[in-house]
Amino acid sequence: MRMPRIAATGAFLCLVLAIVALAAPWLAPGDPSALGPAGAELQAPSPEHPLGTDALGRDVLVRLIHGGRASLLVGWFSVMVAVVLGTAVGLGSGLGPQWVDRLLMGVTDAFLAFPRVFLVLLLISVSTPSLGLVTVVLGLTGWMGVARLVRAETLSIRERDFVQAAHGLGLAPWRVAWVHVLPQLAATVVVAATLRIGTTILIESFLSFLGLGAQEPTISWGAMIQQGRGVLLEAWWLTTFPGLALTLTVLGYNLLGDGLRAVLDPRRTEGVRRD
Amino acid sequence: MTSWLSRRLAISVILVFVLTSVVFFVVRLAPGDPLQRMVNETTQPGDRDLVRERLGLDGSLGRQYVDWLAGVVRGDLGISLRQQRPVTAIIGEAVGPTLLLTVTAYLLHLVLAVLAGTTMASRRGRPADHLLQGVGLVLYSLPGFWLGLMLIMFFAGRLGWFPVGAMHAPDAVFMSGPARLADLLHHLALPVATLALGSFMGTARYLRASLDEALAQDYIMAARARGLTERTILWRHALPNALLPLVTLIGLHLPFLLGGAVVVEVVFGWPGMGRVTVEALWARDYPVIVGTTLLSAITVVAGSLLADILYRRVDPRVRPGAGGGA
Amino acid sequence: MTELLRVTGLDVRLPTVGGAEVQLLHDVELEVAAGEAVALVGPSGAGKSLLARALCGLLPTGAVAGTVTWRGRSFAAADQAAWSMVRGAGITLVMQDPGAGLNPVRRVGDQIAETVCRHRGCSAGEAHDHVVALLAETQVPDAEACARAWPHELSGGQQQRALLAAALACEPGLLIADEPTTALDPTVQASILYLLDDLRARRDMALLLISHDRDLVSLLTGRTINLRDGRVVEGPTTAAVLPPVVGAGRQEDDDSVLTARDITVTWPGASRPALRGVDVNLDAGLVVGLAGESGCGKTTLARVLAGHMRPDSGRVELGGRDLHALRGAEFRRMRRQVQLLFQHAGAALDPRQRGAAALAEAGASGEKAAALLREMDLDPDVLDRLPHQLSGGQRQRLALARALAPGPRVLLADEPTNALDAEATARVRSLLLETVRRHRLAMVLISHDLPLLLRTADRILVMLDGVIIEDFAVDGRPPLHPYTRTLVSAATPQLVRARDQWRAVAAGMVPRHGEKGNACPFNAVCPIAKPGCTRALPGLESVSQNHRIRCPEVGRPVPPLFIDT
Repeated sequence: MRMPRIAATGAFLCLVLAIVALAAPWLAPGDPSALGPAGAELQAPSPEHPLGTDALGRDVLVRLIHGGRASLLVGWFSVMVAVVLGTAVGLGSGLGPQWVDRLLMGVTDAFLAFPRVFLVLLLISVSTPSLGLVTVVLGLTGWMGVARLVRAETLSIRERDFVQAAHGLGLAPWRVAWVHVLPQLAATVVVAATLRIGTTILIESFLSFLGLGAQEPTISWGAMIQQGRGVLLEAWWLTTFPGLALTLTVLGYNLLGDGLRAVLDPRRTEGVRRD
Repeated sequence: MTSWLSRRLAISVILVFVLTSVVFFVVRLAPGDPLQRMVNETTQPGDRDLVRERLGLDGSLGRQYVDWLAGVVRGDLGISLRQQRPVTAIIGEAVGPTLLLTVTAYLLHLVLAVLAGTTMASRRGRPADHLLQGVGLVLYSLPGFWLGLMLIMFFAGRLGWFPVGAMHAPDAVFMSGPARLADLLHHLALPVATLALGSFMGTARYLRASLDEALAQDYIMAARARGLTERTILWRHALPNALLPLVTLIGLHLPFLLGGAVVVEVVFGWPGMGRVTVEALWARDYPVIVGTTLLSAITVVAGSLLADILYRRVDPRVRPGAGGGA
Repeated sequence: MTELLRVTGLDVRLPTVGGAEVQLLHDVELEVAAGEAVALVGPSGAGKSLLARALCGLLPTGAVAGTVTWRGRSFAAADQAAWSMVRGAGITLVMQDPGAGLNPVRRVGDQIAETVCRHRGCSAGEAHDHVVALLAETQVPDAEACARAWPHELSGGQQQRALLAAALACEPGLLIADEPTTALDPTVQASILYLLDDLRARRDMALLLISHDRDLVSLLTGRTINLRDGRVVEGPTTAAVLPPVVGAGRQEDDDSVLTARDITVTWPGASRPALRGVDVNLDAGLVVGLAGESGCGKTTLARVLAGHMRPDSGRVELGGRDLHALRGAEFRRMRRQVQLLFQHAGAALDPRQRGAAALAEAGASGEKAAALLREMDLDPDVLDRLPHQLSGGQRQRLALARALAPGPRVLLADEPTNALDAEATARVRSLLLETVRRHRLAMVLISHDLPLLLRTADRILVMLDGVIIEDFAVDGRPPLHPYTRTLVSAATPQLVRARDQWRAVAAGMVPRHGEKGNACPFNAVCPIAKPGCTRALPGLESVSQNHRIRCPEVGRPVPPLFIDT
């Protein structure tokens, strides 16, 4: 089947990028934000500087390697926050009494009523921008989709015979939720999380592009693109390479998420039904 | 049907109201004083207070809120702190360009999505399917603003086919009608392409999955068993069923027609709602911020309501009054 | 007779979920002559539906091998181009689930018209009359209305007829009907089968009838092909003999375990109540059968008795206490006493739980669990297995063991023999009876298979449209209510002595819902109905000891339409 191979490719990509980012201090030693030697500004790619240099003479490749950390950190942590929050809300909504469902879904819908970009911009500009703030804000604005997904799944899992049977055995509701319902959600949640990491990285890069994300000396690929914007036509390497790095990273997570979904989702059975 | 509708309407109105009020208060908590841009060290404290009073920033927060509410009911959203013009005017000018951009882009998006989706589903497993899926995945993974920049760099910079940004050429006012239209389209091309290309594959994949599901149904097999052609089966049996869930997706997209172009507007310098909002945020221009948020919230809530209504009309099984055979 | 279809050396291989290929049909050979009616029978899993699809060329090309000869022309079974010529006008297929066979977003008439246009080359407008004629031919009550309707607006029986009409629009030489009646109620089953036979005769169309119920199809067909594990085998030549229809009829001393009084339930959003004023009394050691067709409320009643659903009014008393008045921990303790055995055992077990965990959760571990397994004749290694590693029968017995673990006093078995063949049904029946005896349980056996209930239960409640229509002890005396007798006759065609009598029964289609509010739900079709039957719902009156019936007209001479059991 193709799908496991896709998942494997995605996983491989993600792994490589994660290792590169984590190993940045060893792969590209030195301070990536330090000013480069005079005369080295805006040099096109060459054997000495494979990806060129920026307006301050700094090597782009080195900065690229260090910049990956920002994306990965924000991606992982904010998605974790979003998923935990979203799962809790969705589960509570799906299993609890109707008034709880209405309340939670009302809150969820209220949050969802904003285009996420608007909300994020709003919340960030309300205080001092930083990568940490971006992480928190993205987490707090990203749980709603997960909540709805989990709620929908929970509502259908709840009706399944083995869950009803568990209730029939007189088990406490929290136990039924923990032992029987939650594990059935695992696949959906993992896939949703993986796919969201990609989207989160993209939003973070846009924020950094606007200057509302990572602040110097923290390097982010989005900020690097912004720095190259003024010389877009003359120094194409400044905008092109960070963008490619972003694309590769997000692609990795999307491949992984897609592949996982095909592998884990029990409803997707390829092949003809038997008798 | 109507009782459900009126309930939803009431909830929507309350929702919009609550949302905007929250934004109103949240924004005021921001560090940074809008006055900083208007005054300098030489200004007298007394003058400062005067300016503050003129701008309506004196008085308690509660008082400001009530004043604002009263204004909204009248249709007055206040005066922009930065531009000293009515907020309604600023927003009014910006809505047009944004809608022009997003609606055009969305139409292109839909066309591309249907073409891609049906191709992928009907050529399942063959090279065309794999190719489209690959392209789609890459498009889905790249940053929208970067795509815009790359398009500018290549088509506007290298090839010179299109302008690098803005909505009109600087001398557009001097052009004749048709020339102005051509100029507009010329400027519209790259932003629309960026928006559509970046998003259509999501819908295409959704449609493909929906088509796959429809094609696996028993009634498709029954139709095949009756000797109907594959073409008929795809376009007259599978696609109508597959489009149903798409309506909900479109409903989800509708609300974002007003706010979703922020990225593209910033990159291309397009004078729309997104750019207005971003600039207002930087300048701590409270009235504008709250004004755009209000409009955005109304659009989103109205859009979802519309989508719900549409879906109920389109699916014959959900229509109220549908009889009940077991 | 001229040979129509001949198939030789048919092999079918398909990939399984894991990726490996498995061979599902082995060297199948069969032939069908023009106008002939042939039955294809076999237990579930034998490959009958797969064969049906292979005979229409509906399987993926790479999966089939073999040769097909249609009207003298031979081609490879994998040749899709050849199949597209034969499909439709040559061979066509009507599938098991009529609801799934119709496109939900198009009107019924449009879907039939499409086929008509394809085969006659006429326009949509011209096709309309043909469509109505076809629907009339399949005996749909109001052909015009049916053509205009959406699929979900029709009942199961009507959907099946509409699908048949669409299939007939092709004017096929061979009609393959895959389990055409399994999803339908007993009374409707008979009428569909009669219809198929009629169509075959009138149109000189060959019929390949697929079913797991040998007896049902044997009345229509001359020849039977037996399929087992993907191979054509020799089958039994005589129809399976069912044990005589005499009930267990035990009536031990009163030991009432559960009493339900005046249960009324309306599903949210429904226009009619699912249950109306239902009373049930369960005694230890006795089996109560709950009979009725789909939609009558049997499953709803089971859920109310088991505590899964709260009734709108009425009481369920266990040991003198009102079950539904309890809350929290007390309620949870109490509901353990009434255990529900779900219809599909596979779905009732958590796919992630091994046998040991499932039993432990129910309160049986170590020695107690081992004892239960022994009682159910299950190997101890079931404890380590996940549900998908067990066979269907093992899953059912594990579910039963789990249901017994909390030491319940009442066991509700919901259609435990639904899709099983005669052998498996007998096994399940004896297991249940043994369990009842050993644990002195009060059991409710829900089934639409009335003959099974007549062999197994001590008392039977027949439900129709949410009310109990007859309540009698199984002691050899026949049921009296006209509806109950219809159920018995339609379900055991081998008791029908003459074809004419069967047709008369088949013509009486039972309406899904009774007419307005308070009326006898059977009045539209009942042969002894009087004007008063449409005005008020008769009360449940005792007609003799241990026999209550909801019909004031019973006792008068019954016309020869119905067979005495």
